[in-house]
Amino acid sequence: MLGSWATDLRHAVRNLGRSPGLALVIVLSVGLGIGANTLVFTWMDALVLRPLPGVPDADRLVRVNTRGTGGVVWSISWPAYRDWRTENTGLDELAVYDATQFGLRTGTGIERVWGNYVSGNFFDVLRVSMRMGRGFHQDEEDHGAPVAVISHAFWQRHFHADPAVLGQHVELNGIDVSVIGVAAPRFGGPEVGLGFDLYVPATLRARFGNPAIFERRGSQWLSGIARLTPGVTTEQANANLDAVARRIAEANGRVDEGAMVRSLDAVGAAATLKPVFLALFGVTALVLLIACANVANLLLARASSRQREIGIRLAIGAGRGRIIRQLLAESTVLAVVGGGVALLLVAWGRDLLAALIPAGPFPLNLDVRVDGPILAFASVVTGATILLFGLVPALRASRPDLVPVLKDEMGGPLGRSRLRNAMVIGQVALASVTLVAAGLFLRGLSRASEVNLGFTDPDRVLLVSTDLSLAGMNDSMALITMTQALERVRQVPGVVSAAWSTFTPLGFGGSSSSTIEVAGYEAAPGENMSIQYAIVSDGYMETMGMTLREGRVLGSEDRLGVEPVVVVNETFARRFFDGQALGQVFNQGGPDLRIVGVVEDVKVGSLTEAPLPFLYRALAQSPDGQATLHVRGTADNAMALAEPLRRELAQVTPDLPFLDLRTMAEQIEPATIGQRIGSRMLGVFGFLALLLAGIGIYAVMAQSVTQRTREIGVRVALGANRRVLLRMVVGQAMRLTSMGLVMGGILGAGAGVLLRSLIFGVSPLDPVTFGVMIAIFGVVAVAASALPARRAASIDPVEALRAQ
Amino acid sequence: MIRLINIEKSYPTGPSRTWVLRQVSIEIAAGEFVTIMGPSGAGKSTLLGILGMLDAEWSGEYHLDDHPVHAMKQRQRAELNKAMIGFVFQQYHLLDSLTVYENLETPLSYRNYSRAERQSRVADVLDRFRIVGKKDLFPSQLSGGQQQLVGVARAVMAEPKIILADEPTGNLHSTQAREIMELFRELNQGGTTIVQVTHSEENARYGTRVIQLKDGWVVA
Repeated sequence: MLGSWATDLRHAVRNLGRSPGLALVIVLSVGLGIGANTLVFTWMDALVLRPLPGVPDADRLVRVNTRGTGGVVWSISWPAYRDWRTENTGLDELAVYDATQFGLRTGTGIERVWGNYVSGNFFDVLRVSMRMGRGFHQDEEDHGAPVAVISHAFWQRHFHADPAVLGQHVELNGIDVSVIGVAAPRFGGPEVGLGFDLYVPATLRARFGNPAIFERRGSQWLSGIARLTPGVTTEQANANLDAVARRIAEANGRVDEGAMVRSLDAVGAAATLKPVFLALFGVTALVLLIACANVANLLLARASSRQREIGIRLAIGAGRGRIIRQLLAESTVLAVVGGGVALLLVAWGRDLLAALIPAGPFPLNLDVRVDGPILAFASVVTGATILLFGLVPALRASRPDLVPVLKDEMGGPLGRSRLRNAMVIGQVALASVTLVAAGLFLRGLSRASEVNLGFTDPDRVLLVSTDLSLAGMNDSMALITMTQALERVRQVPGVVSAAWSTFTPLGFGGSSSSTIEVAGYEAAPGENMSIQYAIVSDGYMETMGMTLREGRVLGSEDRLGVEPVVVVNETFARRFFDGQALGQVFNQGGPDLRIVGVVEDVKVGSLTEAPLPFLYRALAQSPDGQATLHVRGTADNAMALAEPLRRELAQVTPDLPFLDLRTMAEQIEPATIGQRIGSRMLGVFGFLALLLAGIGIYAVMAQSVTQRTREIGVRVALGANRRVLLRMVVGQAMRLTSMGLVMGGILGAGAGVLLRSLIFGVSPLDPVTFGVMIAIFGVVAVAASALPARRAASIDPVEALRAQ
Repeated sequence: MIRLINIEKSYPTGPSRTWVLRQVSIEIAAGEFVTIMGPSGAGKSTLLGILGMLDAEWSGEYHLDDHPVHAMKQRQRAELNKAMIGFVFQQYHLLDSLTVYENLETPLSYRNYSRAERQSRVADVLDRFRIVGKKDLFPSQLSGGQQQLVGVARAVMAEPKIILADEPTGNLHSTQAREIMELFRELNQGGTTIVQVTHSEENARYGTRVIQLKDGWVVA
């Protein structure tokens, strides 16, 4: 049995070698189709299915937050965490963390590293094993011990994998911290897609300043992660913790505040990217279907042209099963080679994901791997492809009517032509859907670039983040340094204006917010009075290119010792003062703030957001050392200012961290991340689908011309000229394509509706997208049928009639 | 050995039927060399196809070596075919992608012969048909006569009791045709029953009996 299988495989290889072009097209179709699917699956696996590498039983982990008024999501305060942890019953254990950057003292200065303040039970809750050493003890949390667990990558990078690392010290934000453990290799931290370098007890933060945040329930700065109690669902845990949190909040005088427990993939990168990847997955499934239709079409054509051989084999004693086995052997060879091509594609393309994600300040760590589940996925898809699209042609080919076959009296296999035509129509329809999806994303991206952001010329504004606390400065010292830095930067040739701000719009970073009180304003029940704000220096509005509606912008006169002032946006002015905000006062905790100007609304977190109330406070009146320098240049390429800026800032203080250099245009890329990933990837897969459909049209037309050789010979003998024949073949291709486009148009409209939430500002029935798709297919149909048409036009009637 | 009773075959053409064979009843004894003749469209090849169990769509009774073929399922017919019948075709119908050796070996591989048995039998037949020197050539490298020689050799590989030959010399010139017919005579003298379809009177003379068909009817 094995021997005859080997013989079948050997003959299969030899047979395929006799039609290398056909074999190549099939292998590429299978390879590209399966490769595209597997690739997207690896990305889904990394970001959605297996989001926290190195964390066992991650499916039992949940995210925990504070539920604010109206269901708004807030972080958790330290006192709330301590209470929730002891009083809830739906969670096995609750841990909290806060992702932050630390200034690490190195031999050459201060390097920014990303880490987490974590509760003492953090590693126990996540069940992360240690490469060496240990996690934290409860008393280290209680006393804010200067100890750290470092990541495996950081151990290798910073300590050169020194096996004696335990007990060694690193200087973080000016404090000596002792290394007590090295986490397991793949563990990157509690956030999907990010990789952190180190972890310190949350209570250590008190040593870096502001210990009051461990006392105040209004200081909500921690994210929660917890493990569900066995047998408890996320919904049950949510209900339980919410009730507990509400009771505790009320006992502490806080109204309408509860807790929120959600699954891991309902939050963060996984939640943002899941719909995009599902759309991508849908499109690559279509690509695979198109590829399979191609393969089936080509295998059917091949089986059809081998009817004589199959008839002979049946006549000399082969059973039907044996014929099927032999044809399947060929499909197996094709699928195995195609699967190999697919894996090559995956190996090459898996790092593309990181390239697709716009630059941001956070440490990307995408654990994209080709491992057991991925190989299993590829094998299942490949196996299914073989069975479905190798077996059907094999079954059909194994039951020919033998007598006519052996007498060479087979007429045109009309039924098979119909099947192949139907498959081409289907391919065109499916490829149209992918092109429509890609087109809608591209148009959405184009529309997004036309949105009024509330500021101008993002290409001309350069951003440099810093955090002077990393250099050990308090906020007053930081203000002096920042003022000096501004003075120097404004002297740099090519700089129009410069300013500091604690907030940059539309990035990954988010913004601060706090509750306000407006005298005379009656808040509606449940109304969210927490307003987002930025702390900015003089020159900010000019540097951003914002439009002043009334009053004045913040200037150098707004300093400590004079009345605290703010500039608000139009929505703020309308909501709280019926548009008459100038000169009014309100309270944000501390002294009252007087409104001195009203500016146009700026997009804060997303391009699609409804206008939000926003306010700008003066940096000199509310110093903050963690800010971003905004520099407006004269040229479109603001990046040209990078080196002069670096020199000037180094003159102010050599320890000033120079972080996350980017232009404003790059900064706002995350706002369109879905559109960008979608349009790039759907563009690639749409092109692939188009290519495969083009091959399908070509294969069917070529086969059709071969089958109709005698008919064409007769037509030529009867006087048909070259033009008539060209028109006949191209016309057939256009007819099939048109039918496919009609179907594809209907399906594409449906797909557009499904993708509506991911597409910005474009109708799912966008006429431009559909028009371009039809035009592209017209060109493809003509191109794909050109060669067969030329062959038909050059058929020698004498030869054609003699051959039959 | 072969007994046909009222074999009929037809196919629908619009509202009516076209008859290919009508009430064909013949008997062929073991060891006979029978020639089926008749004009084109008389049903000769169709009858040969039914005898070889390549055609399943017919009515009537067909007994082969006391096996009621008409009552058998397709799988049983295929087994009977493997056990009893060898085919020779006008167009040779060798498998283009296989060498002469592999072409001869293929029928044995379909009959579960062991590797050693296959090697031994192929060597024997190559020798007997004097084509040892051609064993590694592909069909396209052989002349028509040589291809048909391989075709006949392939037909006898599994030692069938009956050889069915459909115009076996139709594509050969006269010298090659005579060689092939002599080969059939030898096989027949060795005990193999042979049924050939031919237009050639000369070929018919190698046989022991002629069955004449016309418009699907046996006329002589």
